Formats: sequence, structure tokens, C-alpha cells
Amino acid sequence: MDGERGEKKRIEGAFPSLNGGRVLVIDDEEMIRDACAQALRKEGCVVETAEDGEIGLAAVESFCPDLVLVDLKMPGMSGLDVLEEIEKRDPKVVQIVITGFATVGLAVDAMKKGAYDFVTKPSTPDEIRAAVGRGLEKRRLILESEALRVAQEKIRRNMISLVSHELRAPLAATVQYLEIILGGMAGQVSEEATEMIERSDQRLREMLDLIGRWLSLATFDPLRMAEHFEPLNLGDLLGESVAILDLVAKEKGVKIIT
Amino acid sequence: MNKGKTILITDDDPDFSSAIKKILTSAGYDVRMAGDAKEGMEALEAAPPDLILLDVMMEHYDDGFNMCSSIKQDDRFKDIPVIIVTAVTEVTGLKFDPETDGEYLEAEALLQKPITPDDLLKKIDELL
Repeated sequence: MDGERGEKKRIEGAFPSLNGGRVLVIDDEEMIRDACAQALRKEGCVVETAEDGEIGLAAVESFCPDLVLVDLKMPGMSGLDVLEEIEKRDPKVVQIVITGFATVGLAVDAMKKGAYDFVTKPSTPDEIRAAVGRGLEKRRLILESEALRVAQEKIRRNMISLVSHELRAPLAATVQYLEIILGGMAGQVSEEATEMIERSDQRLREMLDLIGRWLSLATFDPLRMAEHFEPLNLGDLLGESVAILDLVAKEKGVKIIT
Repeated sequence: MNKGKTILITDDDPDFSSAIKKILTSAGYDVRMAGDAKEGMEALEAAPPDLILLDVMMEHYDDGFNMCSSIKQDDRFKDIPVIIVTAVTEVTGLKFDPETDGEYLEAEALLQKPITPDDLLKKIDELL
């Protein structure tokens, strides 16, 4: 049943999240690359390997992995540097570091910088599979929450467009008709009727205005706001506000001094 | 003066189309109407008008944009002035897809519904 070093009999489908996961192994030791690749491919991972940082980074671009296994101790570009570069190019890739017992401290550093987990060498295939399995599960959650965020944004935009179209369009069409009548293009209209039509037109236009303002608020995007800064005379704005409030203030016996 | 000039209105709001048709025929233009992008393109192919009034949002929210794009990319029609009309405000109506911002709207003018008869006729005068 149990092997001496804990290599337990592999349970079929024990690591469901591995299936289909894209894993990139960056390690200068061929034995480690092969061991990882073999352990992971058995559970359905798609694995690519790279023998140094530069090749690894190129592979990140071309292979688009879900997860990377990076050896911390490599000649040439260091593991930590590789991780930093990967983070820059695609922060959504899950990072797991491979470390020797003597360099667990480095692994902890890496994790403080954003690595998800570490595996020590030597590791059993199950240990590798377990760590990568957890990492891929994390990846799944990252992608899912991103997808939800995008969908939510889309719904929000669609709702606004829909509301604005369904509310504004009929109002606009009605105003359009009224103004044609007022413009005399639909035959003679009595003075009395004209007055009513004018009032109706005005009130509908007020509604249109209101909807327009609501839409502006609803679609307010703080990021785009910065594109539209304009100089503003604060004095004018204050004057207007005070004028509006003046009447009410007088009624309540409040004096506004500017 | 305006006799002989044809204007094609493509809009899924029949009331708006009727109203605009009234304004335009009063000013002496010939008016043809299309109720959706498909009809609009068919009308265009059958007999190119002198000017097109196009609603941005028809059955699908980007019908108007797509049609405008098709018109402007077609050598036969790209010189026909297009006025885009929209019931949605500039703020909400034109930000469907940030990636295509600025690319999709090659119309000669944009007017917001409801349009004052004077404004509409003035704009058409300018473009024809």
C-alpha cells in the first residue's frame, strides 16, 4: 500500500482540477522538469518545460500557462526575477516556487511577493500534484471572478442603454409630433389647443431632461472624468446656488451671507 | 429648390419617422422610409438617396453603427451624407464599446431626438 517515501497508490481522479490545466515548469535541472511533467501529465495537465528564465518567459508569452512552477535557484536569471517578470506580463498566472530545503526562506520571500505556494525538492509526484491542483483551483476562481465582473458590467451597460432607449424614444417621438403641430405642419389648431400642446411639450421636455441627467449620473465613470476637466467660475456657481436657496432661506428666517 | 432631392429615413420608431417625414415633405424633399437596417440597405441599393437619416439603436443595439459603417465603407455610398439620430444621450448612447470608440461613427452629423424642425432642416441644408 504505502511506498517507503510515501508514494501512495495513485487514486484515479484524485486531483480533478488538474485536468486540462496548462502548466509551465521552469527549472535548470532536467530531472526536475521531467518529474514534474510526468506527474502532472498523468492527471491531464498540458505541460511545457523551460530550462532557464529567458526561455521560460518566452514560453509564458507563447504557451499562456495557467500556472508556473519556477525553481528559485537557477544559474543566469534568478527564480525571483523570473517571477517578477511573469507578474508584470500576466498577473493572473498562478506562481508556485520550487525550492531546496535549505532555501525555504527564499520561498517564503517569494510568497510574500505573490507566489501562491512552494514545493521542495525532492517532492513526491502526489505532493507536486496536490500543490499544482490547489494552484489551478485558485486560477479557476480568479478567472471566474473576472468573468463575473465583466458580465456584470455588461448587464449594467445594457440596462442603461435599454432604459434610456425605452424611456427616451417614446417621449422624443411624442415631442416631435407636438412640435410639428405647433409648427403648423398638421393643419390649423385652435388657440386653446395650442396652449395645451405647448404646455404638454414643455413638460415632456422636462422629463427628457430629467432622464438625461439620471443617465449621466448612472453612467458616471470616474476614470473618464479626468478627460473632461474644464475651468469653472466658482463664484458664478455659488451665486446660482444661493439664489435658488434664497427664497426658502427667507421663509425660514435664515440669512445667507456671501 | 429642394425638388428632386431624396432623403432616406432608417428608424424603427414609426412615430418618429412619420413626424420627420412630415417636416421634410413640408420643406419639399422626397422621403423614403425603412423600418430596420435590412430594409435600409435594400432601399439604398435600389436607389441611392441624397441624404440618409439613421437611428443608432434599432432592433439590436448596434444596428445603426453597423449600417453607417457599411455605408461609409462602400464606394458606391460613402459620399452620401449621413445624419445619425439618437434617442439616447451622447453620454450613454455612444459608449458601447470603448475599443471602437471614434472608429465606428463616421457620420457627417449627430442629432439628438427630439429634433427641432429648424435644426433638422438647417443641418440638411448644410450637408446637401
